[in-house]
Amino acid sequence: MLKRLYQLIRKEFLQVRRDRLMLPMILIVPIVQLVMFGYAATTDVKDIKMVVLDRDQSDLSRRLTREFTNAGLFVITSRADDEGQIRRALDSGSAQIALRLPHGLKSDVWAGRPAAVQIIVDGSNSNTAGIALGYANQILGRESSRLVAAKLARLSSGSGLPQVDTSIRVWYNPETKSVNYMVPGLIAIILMISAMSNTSQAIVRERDQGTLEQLIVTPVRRAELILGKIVPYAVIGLIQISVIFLVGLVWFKVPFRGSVWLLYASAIVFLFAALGQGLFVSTVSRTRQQAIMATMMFIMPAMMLSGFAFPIENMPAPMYYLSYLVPMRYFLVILRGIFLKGAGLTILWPQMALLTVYGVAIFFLSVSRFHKKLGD
Amino acid sequence: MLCGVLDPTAGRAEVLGFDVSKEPDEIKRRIGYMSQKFSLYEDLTVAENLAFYAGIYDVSEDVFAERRLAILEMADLRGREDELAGNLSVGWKQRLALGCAIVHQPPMLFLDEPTGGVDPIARRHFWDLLYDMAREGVTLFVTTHYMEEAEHCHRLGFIYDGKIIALDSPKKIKERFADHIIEMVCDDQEAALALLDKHERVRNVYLYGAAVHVNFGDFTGGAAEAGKVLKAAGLRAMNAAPVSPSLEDVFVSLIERAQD
Repeated sequence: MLKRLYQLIRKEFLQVRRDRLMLPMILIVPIVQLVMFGYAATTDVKDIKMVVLDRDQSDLSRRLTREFTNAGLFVITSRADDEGQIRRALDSGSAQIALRLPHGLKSDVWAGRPAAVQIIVDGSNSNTAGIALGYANQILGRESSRLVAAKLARLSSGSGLPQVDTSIRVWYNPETKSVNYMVPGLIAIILMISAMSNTSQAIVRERDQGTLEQLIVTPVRRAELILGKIVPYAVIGLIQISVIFLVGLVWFKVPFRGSVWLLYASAIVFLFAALGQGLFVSTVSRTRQQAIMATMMFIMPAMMLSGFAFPIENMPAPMYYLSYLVPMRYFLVILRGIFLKGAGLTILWPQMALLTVYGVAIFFLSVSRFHKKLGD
Repeated sequence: MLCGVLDPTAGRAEVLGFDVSKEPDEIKRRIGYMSQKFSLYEDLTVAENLAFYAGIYDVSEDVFAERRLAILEMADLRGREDELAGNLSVGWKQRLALGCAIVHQPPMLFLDEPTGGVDPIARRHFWDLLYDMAREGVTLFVTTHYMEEAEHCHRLGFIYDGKIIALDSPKKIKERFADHIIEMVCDDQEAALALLDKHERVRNVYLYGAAVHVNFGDFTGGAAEAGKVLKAAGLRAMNAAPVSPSLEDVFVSLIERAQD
């Protein structure tokens, strides 16, 4: 039994080694993905380009403008003399946000009349726009309460004012760097793509060449056949995530606060789900192209609904509930928990339990389907 | 099914004394199987393919060392051990596939249309190898649709529509077949076929290579009769003469009868 399994696994590795494209793919693809997501797919927003129309030209209006640039979040790229210039700056994209300070701002403020400061945001990139608006609101709010305080101080003298002081701390990812968020996500995505596509491709190729037919008339048991296809690609998947893990830690300085053992244990549990899906794909595909398309059918929902790219909490209800069906969702919570929070099983056990249930269920359903299809 | 892969829907069968549905593992260990597709790993070398199948069949190292040489010799592949199987030409692939199927010296070998897509010389060479194996006492179970290949076998079964319609040695099958076959060459084969098909004494008429074969059943005067009929229609028939029925004639006629 073990000897035959050994032969099958050895043969699979021989084939991988023989494939000129496969070997570099195994190592280079994860690194390229990591670099791409680490550098290009950043959602960090800073140096937002701003155009200012200052009609007031008072110390107050200048102070407000300065507040925007002080934090390093906004840079003033141009100053407008009229509304038309604001429009042109936003149209051409030379500015993403416009600050319009009307004439009589200062006198209105001190006279106690409502003063209208206008912010116009280019919403064509909704992500950046949202973040820019958030920052702008924060700055104006702070300035506004400072003015209220100053006014009150002028009226009543002396005693302190009732005030709520917000102090914001970001835990787990203090610099809110998106690469910290991306590396755990990439580990999940790469593991899934690699395990699914490699297994399904290997099986479909074997059927295509007729060697699968040949193998089932040999003494090879079906369990050996399946293990012989799964073990090599599970090993390759684990090598790949180790590469991402190391590059993420060493190059991108992603913090790692949890247990390496738990990381690999959860990866192996997740592999059951991924390999099971790969087996399933191989039972529905006749050609390698079909297998690629079928693999995509699994990967797209995983990317969209697992919380890899978009926060699950913000999804509309049907999508939100659908996301419970995506095994990667649980794996991601576990990975991010281990990486950024240093969480252990005491906290992550519900996710781990669900992932195990899903993984084992998908795996055995696919194995039994593969079993039945093998004889056809 | 006979290889122990599929379960029969009805009935039972034994291969080498083992029941196909109860003891498939015993059968699988003892048979060799070679399909039309020459199921080799094209991205592995000749030697790797052989070693893989030897490992699967649990052939011991010493035995394999010997078998390896014998098979490479047989397949005419000595000195090409490190070539990728995918780069071999069809004839060699076929012989390597045969080698892989017999690496464990099975007493029984299943061959599923083993010569499909192979040129005539390689085919002849291949059959020579099969003859040698048969002489050594290996039972060969061949499926084919080449009648001249079927003629090589000791025992022959015709299968039509899932049923065995004849089973005997090729010689006996032909002897038992009493129909008279007339062979002729016509200048307008199609018109001749259409015309003779309507003749009341003609059981069957069909193209046979470059000629037309007419089955007149038990009617002995077929040659003259065919000439007469064709002449009346203004068609010319050359060399109309009775021939002894070939396996193909037998097969066609048996199917014709099975359809009725």
